[in-house]
Amino acid sequence: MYCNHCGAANDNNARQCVACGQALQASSADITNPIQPAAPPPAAPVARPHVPNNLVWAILCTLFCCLPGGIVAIVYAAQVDGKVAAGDIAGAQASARNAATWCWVSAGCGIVLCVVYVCFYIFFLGALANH
Amino acid sequence: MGAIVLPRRPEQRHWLPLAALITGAIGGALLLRNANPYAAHSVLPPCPFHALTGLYCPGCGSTRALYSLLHGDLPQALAMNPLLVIALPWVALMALHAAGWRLRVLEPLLRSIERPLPWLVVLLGYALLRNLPFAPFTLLAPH
Repeated sequence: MYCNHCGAANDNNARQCVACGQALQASSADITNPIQPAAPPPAAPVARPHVPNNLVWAILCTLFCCLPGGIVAIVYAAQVDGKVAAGDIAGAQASARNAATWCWVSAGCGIVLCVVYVCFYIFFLGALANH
Repeated sequence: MGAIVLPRRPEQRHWLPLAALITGAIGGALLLRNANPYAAHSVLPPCPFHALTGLYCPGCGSTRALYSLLHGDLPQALAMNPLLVIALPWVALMALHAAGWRLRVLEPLLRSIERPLPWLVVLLGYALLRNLPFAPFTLLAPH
């Protein structure tokens, strides 16, 4: 089951969310009445959990790192709300994770490139000074 | 019953990325106090995308724009990367919001700026338009 507070996946028997500690309400209809044939579900609106889409990190990566990774992260972030609305919580969480992964990839590439550049710069300056 | 997992405190989980971001911002500000990206042989790296392709990405001019902002020169910052300067306060708001900071007055505003599709359109459009080599669009490229 998924936490209604933060959207994290939890054990079906869990009473408390592993990610945020929120108390979990088990949808116990199928546990208490295992023999009863499937009744039409109540028409009450289903509470959609909030799945953080990591958009802000994707924007920061686009504005501060190399272009492609940040844009891919925004594309994944854009899938999250649509999947939550369609009831595909696992899919929404996967998209949010993909967005985060692409942010890490482009932030990592940016940092590595900066370090390489600064090393090259220092080496180059040193060589120039020796010359 | 599965293994008992101790729940992490929600505040801690949410505030960690923001704390990292603030640390990075302070580090960047200190660096920009001591290094000038406008200098001919600056230690600050140029945009790797521009160095490789000769094209402007949405991030081109960010270092120089931040340097100018830090030194109180808003027009010069806008000349380097206008979208960055305009987006910065909104992105800061979104980072605070993602960290669990809630202000009822700002909730409707944040709900509308946290939609990813407009950002995608704006950023891709910006990447395209700032590479057009004629009159109004050259204002979007560092100049």
